[in-house]
Amino acid sequence: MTTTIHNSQMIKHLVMKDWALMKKSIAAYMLAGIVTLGIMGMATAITFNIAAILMITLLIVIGARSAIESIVNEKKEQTLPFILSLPVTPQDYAFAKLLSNLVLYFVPWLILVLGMLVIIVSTPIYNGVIPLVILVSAYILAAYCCYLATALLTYSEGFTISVMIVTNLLLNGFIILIMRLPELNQTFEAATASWNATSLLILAALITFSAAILLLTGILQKRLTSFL
Amino acid sequence: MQNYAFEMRDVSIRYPHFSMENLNLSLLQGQVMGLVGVNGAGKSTTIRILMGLVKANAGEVKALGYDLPSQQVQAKYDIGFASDDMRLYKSQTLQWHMDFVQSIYPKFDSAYAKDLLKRFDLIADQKIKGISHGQRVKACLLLVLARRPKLLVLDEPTTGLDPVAREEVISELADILRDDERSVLFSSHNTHDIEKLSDQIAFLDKGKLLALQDKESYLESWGRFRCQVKDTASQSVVGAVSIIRHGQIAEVVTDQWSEGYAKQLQEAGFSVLEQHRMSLEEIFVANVKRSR
Amino acid sequence: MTFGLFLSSTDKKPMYLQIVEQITSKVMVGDWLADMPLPSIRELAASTQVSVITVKRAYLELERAGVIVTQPGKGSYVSTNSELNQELRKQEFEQHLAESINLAKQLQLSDDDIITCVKQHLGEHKSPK
Repeated sequence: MTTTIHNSQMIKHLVMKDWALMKKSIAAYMLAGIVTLGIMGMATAITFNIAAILMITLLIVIGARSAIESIVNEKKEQTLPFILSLPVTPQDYAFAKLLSNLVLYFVPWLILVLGMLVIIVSTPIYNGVIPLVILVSAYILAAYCCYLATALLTYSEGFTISVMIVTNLLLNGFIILIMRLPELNQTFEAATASWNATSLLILAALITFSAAILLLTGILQKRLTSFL
Repeated sequence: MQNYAFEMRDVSIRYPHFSMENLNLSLLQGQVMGLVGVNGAGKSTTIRILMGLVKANAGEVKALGYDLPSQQVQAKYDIGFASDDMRLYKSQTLQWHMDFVQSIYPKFDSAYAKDLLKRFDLIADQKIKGISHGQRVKACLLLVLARRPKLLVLDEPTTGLDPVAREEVISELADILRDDERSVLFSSHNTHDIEKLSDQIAFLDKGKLLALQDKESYLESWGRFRCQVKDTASQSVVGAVSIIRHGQIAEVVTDQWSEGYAKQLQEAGFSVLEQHRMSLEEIFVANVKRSR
Repeated sequence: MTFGLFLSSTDKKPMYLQIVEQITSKVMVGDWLADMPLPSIRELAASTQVSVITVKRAYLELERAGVIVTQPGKGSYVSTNSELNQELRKQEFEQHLAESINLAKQLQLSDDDIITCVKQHLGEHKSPK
């Protein structure tokens, strides 16, 4: 662990490298995100639903593409020998991958979620919708952590895509669940946002789950000794 | 007390269909070692173990005095690695890669890099996606050569290159010979390149070292004799790797050539008509055939 | 800068021998003069694109033949032996003779046949004056 911290210089280089590679894609996604927020800003029930679906799709796609591209493809496209010939250990490389993917997903995710909150608050859209938006976004983040972990630990396109499909199918179930829960759905139509024990519990569970998956991934990665 | 460019002692590794036991390979600083062997002999595996990309099951590995893989970060600052299955990022340009490498290595010589661009006939602003195999190989070599590393580890540096590109690469590699502190380990199917540039030859087959010797004495220990055979001639001769007979003429290959070997043959009933030195390629084939 | 050495990879002769012969002939014809410093081993290796060990061997052979002298720490120089030329030419003669005898043996000529042939040629050599 200590040597990884000492090699922070190289890890920074690797993270910056991933940023340079993903810059263009992220810019395109942010553009799509802004358009979606615009649609949401039109503040009718229909536009809100359309925007919600688009945003969910966008948040999923950003994660899916970056996990596959920057992790699985690095092995497929054989750029791994080039990177491992640099002054890094395989563990440094794995950690840098975890870090760069997390940051390069979390930042756009945060921006888009905050964007949605700003739109909701500043338009006639019921503020009661806020917990719903946050819970669904948190679920998507947790799902991302799952397939990020899969990609980092297996480098298999097959496994990663399977996990993606499963978590996304479950997303629908999750949305239906929270919309049906009586403690929650009565708050959604309200003009003000309100959290109660149930919604906070679900949020806490999602956050804890994501953190646990990431921590576990970090630990298991240390035990990988070769990629090639 | 001379320094070693690298040392591999009793290295063993086991894969489902391949294993290497107790490999002992080392090279003194300032020398060039050529690694020869058929596909699957273990050349790439050996190189990867040396580069810390693959962990051996047993044994000690040191490069430039650093323990591998525990000190691989320090080691890799002064080691340059390029392999023919190495790829660069398709969406980026060669210049991007050069900038990336320069940001990591303080010893990167950008003037020399520019010079190499010209000599290798490469375009810095071209995206990797659009370049040919040969240009890509040269690009990987450029990124490595421009750092002037103390140890160069190359896996098939000229394989698949056209004669012009090959000459460009060999020319740059030959330049390294000037520096007695720089060493090279390279594997190649172009036995010709190995024959010209190597000081030491390591011959691998099925994970075992068939030979590890300095090039001059190794080449000199092999010879091919065309002889006329009497019927009374013996079926085998001491030191003969192979004897092929067509009627009255026999071709004898030996790996224990000496000034007196022709006489030995005469005594065994083989009347020597001609004798030839063997090229490394011929030795390669004869040596591998023998162990099958 | 190849120092005027042209090494052929398709030549059957080993590389070190090509170096020895080419340097020897340069000295013989006077292109490389007595006391002239030879390029360092590594310099020659890099410019002719041959391994250091090959150049080392060539220099060793050249020293053995008396063509060059090596001073430890200073490098190698063309030797100043004034009879060097004579020696070199004699070596060349003996080499040609050995090759001719080899060829004769391949033709299955007997020792007497060979000597008769030599006498014939010596006779021809005397005539024109």
